[in-house]
Amino acid sequence: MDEELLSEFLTESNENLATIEEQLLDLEADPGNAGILDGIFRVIHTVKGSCGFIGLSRLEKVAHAGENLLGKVRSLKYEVDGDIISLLLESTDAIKELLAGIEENGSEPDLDHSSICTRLAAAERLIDGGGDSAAEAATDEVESEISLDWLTDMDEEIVGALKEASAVTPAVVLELGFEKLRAIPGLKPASALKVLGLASAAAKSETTSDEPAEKKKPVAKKAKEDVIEGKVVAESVDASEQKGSSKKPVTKDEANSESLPSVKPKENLPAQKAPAKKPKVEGSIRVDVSLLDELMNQVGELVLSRNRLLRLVEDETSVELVRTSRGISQITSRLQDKLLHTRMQPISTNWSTVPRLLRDICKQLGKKIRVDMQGQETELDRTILAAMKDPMTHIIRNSCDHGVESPEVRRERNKPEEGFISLKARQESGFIVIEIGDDGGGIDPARIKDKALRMDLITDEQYETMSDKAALQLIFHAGLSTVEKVSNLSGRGVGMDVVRTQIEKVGGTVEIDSQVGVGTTLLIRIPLTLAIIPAMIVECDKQRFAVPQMLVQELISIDSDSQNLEMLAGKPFYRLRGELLPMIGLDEVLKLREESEALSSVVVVNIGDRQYGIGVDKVLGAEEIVVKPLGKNFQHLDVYGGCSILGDGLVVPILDCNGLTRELRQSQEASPVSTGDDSTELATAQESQHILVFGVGEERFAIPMALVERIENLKCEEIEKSGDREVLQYRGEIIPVVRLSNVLGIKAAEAGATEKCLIISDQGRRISIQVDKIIDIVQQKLDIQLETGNAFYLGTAVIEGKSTEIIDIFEIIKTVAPNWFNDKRETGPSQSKHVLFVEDTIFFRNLVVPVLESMGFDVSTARNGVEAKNILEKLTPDLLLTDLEMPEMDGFELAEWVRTQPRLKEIPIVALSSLDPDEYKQRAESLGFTDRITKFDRKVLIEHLSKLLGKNSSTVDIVDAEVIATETTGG
Amino acid sequence: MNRVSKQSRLLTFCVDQQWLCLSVDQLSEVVTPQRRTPMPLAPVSVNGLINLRGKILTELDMRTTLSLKPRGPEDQNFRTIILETEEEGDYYGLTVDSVGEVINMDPEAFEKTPDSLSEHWRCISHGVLKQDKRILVLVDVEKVLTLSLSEVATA
Repeated sequence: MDEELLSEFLTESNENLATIEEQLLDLEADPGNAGILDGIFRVIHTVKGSCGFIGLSRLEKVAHAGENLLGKVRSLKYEVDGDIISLLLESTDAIKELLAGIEENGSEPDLDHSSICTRLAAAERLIDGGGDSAAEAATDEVESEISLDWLTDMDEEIVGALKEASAVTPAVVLELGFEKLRAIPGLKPASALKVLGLASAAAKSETTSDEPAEKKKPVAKKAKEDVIEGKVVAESVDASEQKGSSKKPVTKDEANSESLPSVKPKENLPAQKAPAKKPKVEGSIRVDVSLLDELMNQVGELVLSRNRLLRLVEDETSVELVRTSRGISQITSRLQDKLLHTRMQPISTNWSTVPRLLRDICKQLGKKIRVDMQGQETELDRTILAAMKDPMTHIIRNSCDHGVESPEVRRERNKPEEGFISLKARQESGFIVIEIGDDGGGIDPARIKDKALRMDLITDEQYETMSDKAALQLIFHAGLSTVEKVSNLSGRGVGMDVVRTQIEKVGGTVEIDSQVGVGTTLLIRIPLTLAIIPAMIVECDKQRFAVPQMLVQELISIDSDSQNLEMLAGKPFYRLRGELLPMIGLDEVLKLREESEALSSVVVVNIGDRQYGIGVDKVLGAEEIVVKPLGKNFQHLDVYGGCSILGDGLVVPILDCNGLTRELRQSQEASPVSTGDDSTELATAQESQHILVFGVGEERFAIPMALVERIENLKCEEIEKSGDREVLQYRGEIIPVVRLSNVLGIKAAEAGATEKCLIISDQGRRISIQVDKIIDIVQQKLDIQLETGNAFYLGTAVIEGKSTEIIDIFEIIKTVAPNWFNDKRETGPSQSKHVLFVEDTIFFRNLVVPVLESMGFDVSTARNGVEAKNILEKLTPDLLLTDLEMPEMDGFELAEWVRTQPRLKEIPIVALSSLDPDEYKQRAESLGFTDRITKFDRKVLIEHLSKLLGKNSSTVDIVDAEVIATETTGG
Repeated sequence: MNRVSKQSRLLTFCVDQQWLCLSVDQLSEVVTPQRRTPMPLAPVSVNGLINLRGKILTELDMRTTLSLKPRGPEDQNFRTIILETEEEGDYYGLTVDSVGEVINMDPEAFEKTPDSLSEHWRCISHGVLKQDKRILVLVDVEKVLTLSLSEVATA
């Protein structure tokens, strides 16, 4: 087959078929419109004709069948219904399929479209049958006339079978051809051959009267022409014999070779040449895309040279030179602009398939949905358009399948029966914004959160604190689907992760918004790809990188001691005008250095609706660069978005901020960091504990019950003044009284008849803290959010739904009794022993360290097993006091490790934990834990520690301590 | 990349004192050391990107691909063989220690790759050519590319 000819044919046909779907749908809406019908007919007719020209028989068959049907519709002025349109749509699909196959392989694919052909023919006959009765009668007449005659000596069954398949006239039989005849149930190949032979003979013997029933009908000459063409074309053509009525012994040829011999293009039916119309000249020309790309490249380089020229000319004095260079500059700008447009196409190119898509889906699902488009003329670069096609289709499918409800449900919800999908596109300063929305049932954020929780995508905490909007974005995580049943149409209802990936590949972002019962909208933002982009050149580890300026919001410079620089769970954040900005060093993402350096210069980028900070060493400046693609082997590195050549000739990689901040973003979505001035660090106390909530003045405070020995209700008179302090006689001693209202600077409530006091005791000494009222004792996890502010507060926690300050009792005590901790009543160890205290929670560290210090120990602290290990490598403490539950390396692992170190083997290890003693007893024993103490039991702690450090060797000795709360209430 | 035929002319080059060769059809030119831009996170064999008259190429280092020790400071007079490419947009240069003369392919002298060679060498070798004073490893360029690009950079 002639390559060029074929290629021409393909391009032409694709062009012609591009609009045919739309036209068919238009016809469906306006069945009587002859103009539309004509248009459609012409297209198919052209295709069919060209096929014959080139010898694409399968394609020809399908096109021919379609053409026949259309011809019939046209001549009978039949008003088509949905079924016929569907059939025609199917046939155009088949044609497109075949064309695609031809394009790929150069020859027709091995597809069987006999079904569609048969159905088209059947439809044709149906319409025929529905024509005026005279015609009908004529058909029957003709049929009955002919049917038996020519089928001499054929069995009854065969005749019957033929009748069944409506193959009763020689013409029809010939048209069906050997293959189809053979396919008729009841017909053996031999019989089929025979029938064909008879048909051919019969056809030959008769002249015009042999023409099938159609002739009898009031048809124009066109139909006859069709028929003639049809007969000739359908079977193999021996080009020379081309008279209108001659019927060649086609059968033998057919029988011998299934595949039709190639037609010599030159010798062809005059009749067929005519249909091969050339499309009217529209003032456009077809250009190879690669040529355009090459042009773009060159113009890009031209622009850069122009820029350099302008800079050099700045210092020039020659007026002529300056003027000329300005002229060149203007021309270059215009050239660049126009060229960019050659690659742009309106988004309607993608949207044009949507009506057909909706129609098919609606039929399949029994729903009614229409589409509303706005901004179809918005232009996008070709590559982006191509990349958007699939995601868009998927999103629309989803909306139809899972979004828009069925008509019944909609009626129940008082919504119009017809749902609608809205497509909107607009350009917004360097971005194209596409909105795809539906007025369906919306997505329930609660259900998504549930599913995510079950799948361990989010933690319990995140579940509580996550906003609805953030919950919706979870839908982009692979595997998440709230649809219980799998639908044929859009699979599991999501593939949203794939959609997002595809969108991100072209540098875009996607977000989802939804309201239950109202609808769902997807917002897609895509940067306009320009081959030349302004970029910021940055330096990190002496290497240069380019950051597309479009995404850059601002540059900030951070001092290492800046107040706004904060650490949250080990990650750096910057408080930028009230919002917390997650940051990451470029040297970290690209693994440029062993250890990340502190962030000083930060580039703030905008991705989607959020900002992220990328730390670099220096910002060198801004430059316009030509974006060149990186080779295939770099495609998987999502941190790069191409490369460019700078003025000095060196290559510079272009960073893809999406890829760079991927990790940051993933954690952000799952657990949105609460912005605002309050939250800085999140420290969680793992265990739940008894907490005493009390009030001073109007405010609420809390203190771990473990610290309180007793709550007393005293009569006012019992508090006496002694000098300038207040004291109380309690259990035979005189103890100081501290009024919290004074210490905290809060207005006290009205003094009533009784005073509420918390008796705090330590090492045999007591102190009374006076509060206004006791609110409650609760048992819950203490989740403290610390604030670097008031020294008296350890932080704030949510207790019973209310924000409550946790008092640092030791600080308060220190203010009134500075010597409290210095005065050691009990005999502590004589020389300073060194204790390494390992505990991840700040709260408990603050609780215990003072106690240890008050005992006269030197205390080193570590936040987890790993840190402890590091410390232990360098020094040997006298005792290791460790929490059990810690991140990175827990107490058990630490103990295990310690016991393997010869230097540390003998050190007593005490576990300080509130874990259930029995559970861990075994394990602790085997690991050689010396002791185990509950966290709040200071007395016991002190007792044991002193005992241990008085001893020389370690013994295995597990002590079960009780939570002090029970002790206290016991009196 | 074309297969080496009986009539091929071969360019000889040296890497860590071992001589190799490849068909001249597979290369477009040989250049002196070019300024390169390292690409973090790329496979170890990728020295970086180089700019050759406006085209950006990925420079691969034969020494690294073959797990040989890196070039010392005295070996900085290396050469980069620019490979001929069939695909647009994917350009490669292969950096070797030095480049020798072009010889004719001698089917008589050709033998299949000895099993005693290390894994890397066997992977990239079509076979060996025996000459008077040396044995040349005939390189399969495609394999070199695959091997070079599949090694992921160690953090």
